[in-house]
Amino acid sequence: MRRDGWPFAYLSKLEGRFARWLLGGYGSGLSCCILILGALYGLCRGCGVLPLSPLPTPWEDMLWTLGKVATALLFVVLGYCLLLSIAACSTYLKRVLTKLTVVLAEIPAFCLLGFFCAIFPSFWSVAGVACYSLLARTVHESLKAGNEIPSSYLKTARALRLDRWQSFWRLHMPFAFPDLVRTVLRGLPGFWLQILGGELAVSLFLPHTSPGLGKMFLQAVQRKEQLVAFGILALMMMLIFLVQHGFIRPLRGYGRHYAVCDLAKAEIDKYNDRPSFCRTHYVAGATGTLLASILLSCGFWGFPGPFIALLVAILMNGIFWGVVGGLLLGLSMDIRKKFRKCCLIAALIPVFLFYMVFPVSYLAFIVPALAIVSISGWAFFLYDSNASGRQFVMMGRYLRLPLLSRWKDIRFPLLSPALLQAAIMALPFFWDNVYMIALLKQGTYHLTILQAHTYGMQGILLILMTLLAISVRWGVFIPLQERMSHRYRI
Amino acid sequence: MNGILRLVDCAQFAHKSRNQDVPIVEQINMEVREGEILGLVGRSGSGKSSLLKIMAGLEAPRKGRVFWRNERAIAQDLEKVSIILQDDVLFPWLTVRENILLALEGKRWPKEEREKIASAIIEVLDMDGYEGAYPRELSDALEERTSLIRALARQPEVLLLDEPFLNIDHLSAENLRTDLIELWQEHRLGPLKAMVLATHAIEEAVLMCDRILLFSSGPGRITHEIVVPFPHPRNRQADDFRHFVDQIYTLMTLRAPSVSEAELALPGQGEVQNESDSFIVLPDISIELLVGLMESLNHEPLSGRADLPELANQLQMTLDDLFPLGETLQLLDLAELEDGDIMLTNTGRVFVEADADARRDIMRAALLHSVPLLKLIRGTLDERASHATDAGLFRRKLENSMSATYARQTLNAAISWARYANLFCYDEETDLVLLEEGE
Repeated sequence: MRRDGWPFAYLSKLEGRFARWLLGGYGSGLSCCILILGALYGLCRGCGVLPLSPLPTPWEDMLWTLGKVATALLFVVLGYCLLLSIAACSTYLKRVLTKLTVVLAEIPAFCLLGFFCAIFPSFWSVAGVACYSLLARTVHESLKAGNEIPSSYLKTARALRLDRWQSFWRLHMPFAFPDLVRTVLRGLPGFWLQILGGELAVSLFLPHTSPGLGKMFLQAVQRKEQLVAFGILALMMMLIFLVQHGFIRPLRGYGRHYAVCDLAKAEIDKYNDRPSFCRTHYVAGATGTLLASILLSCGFWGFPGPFIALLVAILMNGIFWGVVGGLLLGLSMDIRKKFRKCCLIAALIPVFLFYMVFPVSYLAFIVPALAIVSISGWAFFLYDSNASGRQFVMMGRYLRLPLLSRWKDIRFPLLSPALLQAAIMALPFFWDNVYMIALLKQGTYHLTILQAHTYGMQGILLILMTLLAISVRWGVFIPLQERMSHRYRI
Repeated sequence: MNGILRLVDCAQFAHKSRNQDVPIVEQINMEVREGEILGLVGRSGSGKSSLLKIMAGLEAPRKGRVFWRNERAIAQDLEKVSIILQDDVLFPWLTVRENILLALEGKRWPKEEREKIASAIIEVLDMDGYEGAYPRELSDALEERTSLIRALARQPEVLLLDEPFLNIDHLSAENLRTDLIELWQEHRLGPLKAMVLATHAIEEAVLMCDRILLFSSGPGRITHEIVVPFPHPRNRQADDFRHFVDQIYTLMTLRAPSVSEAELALPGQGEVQNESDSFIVLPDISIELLVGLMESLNHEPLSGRADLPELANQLQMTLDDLFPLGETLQLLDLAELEDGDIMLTNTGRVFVEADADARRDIMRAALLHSVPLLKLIRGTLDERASHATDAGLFRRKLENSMSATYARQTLNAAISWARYANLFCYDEETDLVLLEEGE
């Protein structure tokens, strides 16, 4: 029986819950509300529902950008649910979708901007590019994670007579959730690059585009108003952190509930650790990388092309995280977690904007490498969660090993699998940065083909960039990482 | 007693590459009767789990028929069968109650009814207070109890248990067994009419079951049907009980040998052509354990012969842990199992009294003679100029006659034994087996 005054008690309870949600987690609920309101406003403006702008310039532009972010995220959520529901219907469709998303996730999303702009207005094009990239990767990771479920869980689900649909949502999705959260976190720097860089790039080749912070930044740089440019950068960072606080923080909190699935998966990894790649993969990968680089250099970049940017990135990040990671090895998990958080925050800074302020030619090779330093660091600390690392470092000290041996025989074996894994994680973001810088650099062919709307050339560029991304990832980094993980596993 | 579930001429095969099918069980005729606990006893790989899966309707038999109350079984009939698999898991992101409710989702009953059933069965199996706990907060024994509740929540008429007490400690297992038997005796397990327990532990089967079917291996066949004459509750320390267990061990050591590796390795039987058929699963047992057992057997007052249960007691092992060791020694012709006893062979005695180098020589000879896989690997290495070959080759050969997991276990055991006997080496990094100088 319901108590007297039931609706009031219920409302009061509801109110209490809402207040707790609003103010809990350092006000992440409040941030979420602000974001939703802002996003609704931006969305209405983008759709033309509100033709008059009641807000002054920087705030108006910020809300337009927020509208694009909200649209992109909304489509990611809708697309994700739709595609995974399709995958849940049939094993065949699931297999097809898994294989398809391997390729789709490798396409540098920025190369699609020209095609999107040919079909949609600039507001939807920018949101579409950002949505595409995140959607392809989240769907792929979720489907892949579904294949890594330990057989004992699948057998139990069968024994409980769960049907395909129930198993998918009650078993596959919880297993995919930690990977989903990681993919979203990993994809965030790229997402912001596509939103802010997209706004900026669209303004470069289209005469009339929707407002946004990226466009505003470009105008400030073109007018040589450095101070205004930095002000806009500050606004961008404010928006990024608001989204981080209001959306991403609760998502991560929710993801922790399913972290137990990672432990179950780690159990099966112990038994499936044979490297599946052989030397021919390295050769094929290296050849593909070289060939695609040469083709891209001849037609689009001019010598030396993206290959040098890749080498610079490998050297810079390898040396930096090799040394820093090696020195941090053996520190407590809490400290390492703090480093990871710092890296994730730093990864959200849109580094490519600095190239616009200081357009020095050699920076074109360094900026993409710089852009991935933080995301590599985040991934490095994520995968190098080896608790026994400290024990091995201490053992090296007790054995009084010379410094060189300590690095060669202890730190390097502990570091290398995580470093390579980090590199693999950072690759898509790297390619987007390479493309963005090429677009901003004087004398490359990239902007010309966008301005001329030559879709054939854009298609060739898209194919070559995708080939390069695939051959570098699948032909070079993944075999190397598998080999290192197998060789130096504990 | 009325028969509920009956298998007639059932056979099951494991599908392998190149259209090769390996029989897991064959010629199985058995019946689960109302009001009984039926035990399926046999060593690992004798097909008990496959049979349970057939009975639960999770797999269809390749040959033969399944009957539910004398009618051909259809899917709806087998819905009344619940199974707890050997590697059954609780979903770690769900609480105990949510795990139990998940099992009822498949039933599509109204939510209130599902809640009611879950609460009732939680209370019956004494898990109140743990409903909100996550599996990580539970001990292994409580996890197993929750699995049992989850299976019973589906209101089955037949409950199939596949080695349910294997992964929990002795005392907790005893407690859970006692509770289950008590509830069964008091008819408090809902509409449950029969239970089937698959186990390799004879004592456990005698303690719980009313009837036991003994299985041979490779492929699994029913060799004996034994009716357990004791009423519940049973006292495992009682003389009659011990004697009964001893008799079953005697039966197992006497039973017609299955298609074993040793037999197929006899010269002149064309092991080259049929080499993949001759591989059996090697147990994951270290040589140190085997040597330790032989040394214990050789000590006074045993002098090379011992009664298995007594020896198990003396070595503070369970009989079920000791038995595979005895079987492995028998496979290597270092000991024999007979009438529930284990005794060292002449080679076994020489081995125990020899020094380390001589022991390695004896073991090498025993391994080459009795384990065709090792003979094959060594022969391949001797033939090749590089004296090295890919271990994956042998793994694949093994997979033609057993599951991938067993193939990996068998090859690992073979490599470990070969290392002791200096037969060959294995480079884990390159996955190569190779001969080193002096081998």
